[in-house]
Amino acid sequence: MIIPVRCFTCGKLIGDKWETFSQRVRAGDRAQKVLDELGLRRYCCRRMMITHVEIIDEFLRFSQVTARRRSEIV
Amino acid sequence: MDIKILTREPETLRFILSDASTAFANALRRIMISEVPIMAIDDVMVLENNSVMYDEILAHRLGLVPVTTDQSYNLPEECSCKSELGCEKCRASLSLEIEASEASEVVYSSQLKPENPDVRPVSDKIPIVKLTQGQRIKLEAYARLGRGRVHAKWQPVSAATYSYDPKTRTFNFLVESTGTLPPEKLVLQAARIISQKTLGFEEGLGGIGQN
Amino acid sequence: MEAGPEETQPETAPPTLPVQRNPGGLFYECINCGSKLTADQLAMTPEIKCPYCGYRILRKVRPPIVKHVKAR
Repeated sequence: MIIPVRCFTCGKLIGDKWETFSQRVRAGDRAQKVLDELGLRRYCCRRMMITHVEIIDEFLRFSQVTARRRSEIV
Repeated sequence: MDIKILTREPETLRFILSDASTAFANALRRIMISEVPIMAIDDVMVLENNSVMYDEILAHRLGLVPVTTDQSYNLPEECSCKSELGCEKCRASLSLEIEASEASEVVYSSQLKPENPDVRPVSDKIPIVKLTQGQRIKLEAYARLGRGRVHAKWQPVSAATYSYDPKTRTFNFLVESTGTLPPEKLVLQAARIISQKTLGFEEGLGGIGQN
Repeated sequence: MEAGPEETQPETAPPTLPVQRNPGGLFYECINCGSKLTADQLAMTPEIKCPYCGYRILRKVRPPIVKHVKAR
């Protein structure tokens, strides 16, 4: 759905690091380097970032269509 | 017993404990994980939520947001108010009211407004939910003190480990806090709790064995 | 939001209903025109239909009650 707040295994706060991670990897940086620089040393935390899919963006599309249709009715 | 601090980062502490038993070192480690009380959101009163996230999921995420701990609060079970939702002395509230005006807007932990500035999210940049235009969330969240053994959100550390060197008989500790309490306070609290438990045990013995 | 669909669908004369299009605190909402209805109003026609625009999909509006959820 959306990035989990904490690592499932150790409980380290990871939610605040997702946007940085995602942007930098999309821009071309190596995930390994970004993870190191974000302080995610243990592989339990690292996999949280690498394997995450932000599907809430897809769910939002349904609401966005409804919102757009509603604004067009006026 | 001797303690020597090795490194000190914002939330991570490394120290060496010498002249102590394994039993003590391990007790310290276990208490740090499960018995040091810290603050976390436990009750969420949802007034409005037409986001794509169910109230329960939203509340679950809010519970997991690490929140700074003010140790002057009472533990809910120990508070004189004996009420389900608590009183001023055993809970701190945070409120969230947001209506999105963009097609895709992120609600961050910074938007949780604390009633007590000492009980606030550890980080401002935690995404809580995403909203689209017209979606509203209005809620009031109550943070309470609690222990890691009850729910992982009340676990103050992401790592509490030690390694033992049999030659020097020393324990090399790593304590990585989630930010809710500074690691030194955490270790100190853990030691105090060990002491309290031992005293409680002594009381429980009720004088058995004393002539 | 709604601008008189009666004119565009003359075959179904809308019933005269005692409430406005956007009153407070009613239970259901037409997805098409957004008008709010109560359960009794829906029961008026044999099939479930929005009395203003004839649309047959309605949604239940979230009740104005405070919901207490445990964050666990």
